[in-house]
Amino acid sequence: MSATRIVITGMGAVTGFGFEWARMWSDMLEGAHCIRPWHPDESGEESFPVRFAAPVDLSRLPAYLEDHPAWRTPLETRSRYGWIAASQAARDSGLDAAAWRNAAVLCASGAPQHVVADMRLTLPENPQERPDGSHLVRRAERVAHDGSLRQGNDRLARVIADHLGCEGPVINVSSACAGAAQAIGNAFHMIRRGEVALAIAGGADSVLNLDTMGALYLLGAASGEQRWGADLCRPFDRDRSGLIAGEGGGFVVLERLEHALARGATPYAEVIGYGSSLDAYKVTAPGPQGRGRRACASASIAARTVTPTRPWRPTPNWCRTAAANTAWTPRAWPGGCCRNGPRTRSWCSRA
Amino acid sequence: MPCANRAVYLHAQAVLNVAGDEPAALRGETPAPRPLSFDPARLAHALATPRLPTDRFDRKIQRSVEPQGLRLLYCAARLARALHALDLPPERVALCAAIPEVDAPSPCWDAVEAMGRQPERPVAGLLANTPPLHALTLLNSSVMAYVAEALHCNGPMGGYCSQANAGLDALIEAVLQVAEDNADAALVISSSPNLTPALYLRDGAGPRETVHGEGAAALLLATAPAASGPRVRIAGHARGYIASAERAEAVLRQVLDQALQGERLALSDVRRIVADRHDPLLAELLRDAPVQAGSRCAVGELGASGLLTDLACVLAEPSTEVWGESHYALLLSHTAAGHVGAVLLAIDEQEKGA
Repeated sequence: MSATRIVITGMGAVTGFGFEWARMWSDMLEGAHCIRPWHPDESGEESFPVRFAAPVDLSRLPAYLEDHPAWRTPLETRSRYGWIAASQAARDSGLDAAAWRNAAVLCASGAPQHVVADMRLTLPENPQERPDGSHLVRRAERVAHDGSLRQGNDRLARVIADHLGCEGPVINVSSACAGAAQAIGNAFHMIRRGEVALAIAGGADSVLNLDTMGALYLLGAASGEQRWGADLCRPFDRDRSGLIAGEGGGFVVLERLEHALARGATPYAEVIGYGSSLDAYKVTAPGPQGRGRRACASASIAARTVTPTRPWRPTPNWCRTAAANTAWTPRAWPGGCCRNGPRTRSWCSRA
Repeated sequence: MPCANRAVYLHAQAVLNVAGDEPAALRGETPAPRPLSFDPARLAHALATPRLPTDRFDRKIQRSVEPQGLRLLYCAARLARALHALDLPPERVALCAAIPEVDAPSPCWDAVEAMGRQPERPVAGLLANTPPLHALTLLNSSVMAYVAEALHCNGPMGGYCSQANAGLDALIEAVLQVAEDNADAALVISSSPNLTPALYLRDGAGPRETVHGEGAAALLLATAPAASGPRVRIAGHARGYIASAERAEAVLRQVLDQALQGERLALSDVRRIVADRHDPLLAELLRDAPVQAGSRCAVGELGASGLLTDLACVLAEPSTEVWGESHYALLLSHTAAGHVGAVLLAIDEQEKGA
């Protein structure tokens, strides 16, 4: 058990609730949701089988974020939301600019944003021929600057590091829905081992486009249910029908407890353990005996940095949406054990 | 950083690239790069998609996984026997992966064609022509589940996708999982990106003259060395990021110092250094040191599998006559995106078979 204690001192979230985590938290405590009618932009007038989602509502953008460089930089949607969430977390932490030099950035960045117009650039003039990359290369100047062909999957991690001036490890995590939990867990380990003193970790995603949502619907993951209207999220109901996709970004700032207290910061929570596992039962379903979940929870308990004096529980982030009957791959089960910090304001337990 | 706690050894390795699937082949004659089919003005080392062993992977995987995933699975399968011989419970085997995103315009060409025929009806074209498991094809980390299932590694996991430095991130995570007793062995798996237009269009793609290659590499780490061959311990590692050009040299020196500090070494104590001699930053730092070229010169820039391929290549070279029976090897990397990394190996030929 390590003597190094690690706390969360900054948070940022961009969701359908808005651009500030406190708003999301207060709305959720009131039982609100941000699911509403949705339609992919690329589908025009054509009907799409998934009718509801939780998109980010740009009309809720606060005035002080209107000049954020994320809006002026060619980026995928997920990266814009992630960068703003990371900036919010950094600002929330109260750390000064010089502190970020020795920080790590760990980021789970979700699904690439394939642009339908880019796909069409692969089509030949002669309809007898097959789509080919050579047509795309010939039309390279027409490739969207904010789509997956121009934007690497690690772009978000790098823009955050460049913006904050971080010279520690800059890591892009790729483990599907478990990615942000892995990012936070890896950050926790890196600080505990002494590799860095500070880290900003989290994730961002936006699957609300024709290509990705079409693929999720065909996989049987996304709900096409319409009878409940916007209230279709009912994961423990016998009429549950699948996942309702959202988009956004969420980041936290982690640092050593003594460092936080020395600079007068108020920790939100202490991270005391992290574990992960891959049960690989099926590529679309976790093992029914919960072997992966057990292994993950056991590892996070074994890795804890302190012995809790109050009741506590692991807060898992299974790689499976609560509402879905099929699961994303891989069978990954990272989860973190957290407990309230010494001077708690509130605690958001989902990674 | 020093590798504290338990010592971690390289137990077995597998590679796949245009030179073949034996690490030693990297030191021989390798084919010249050839023009790309989609852009003949560029040269690259394209690789035929490998056939997976059917006793290890379901035939559906061969049909449904795209080429970079198949290369990775091919290399992972070649370590199955060595992993099985360790006779460990699956929960004590970690799996760490360095996997590029799937970056073709769309792997589902039938849907692209259908949308081209009827641009006013993209939804109908997409849904009618996309296979149900298409989402799993797009999801690069699907291959981790296939490896975990086939090779029975259900312990700690970590998936990384930061282009060229992802291999180092996966290696470091695997080393630490074993060193800190969260696992008794770890598989580190990696693949290069597919050669697609996106590789060249992307932000941070690197200089135009870069010759890319397709390949994969996998390592098996354990708490004991292999029964035969040199005894190779992961003795140190470090990584950093150059956020501003004027800090490049300082970041590189800091990474170097961190990698060497655990063994109390100076750069002059390291007899083998593997790095890209054409990288101006590395060349400046290493101007007085003997530097070996990495795999890049032979088989192209392999992205996420480059570092692991270099590592396998170092071990494939007969070393006793040149380097002595015990020596250190340092692998240094600097990516086009600004990542800097170092891995220090302690290689001991004396205790072969111990």
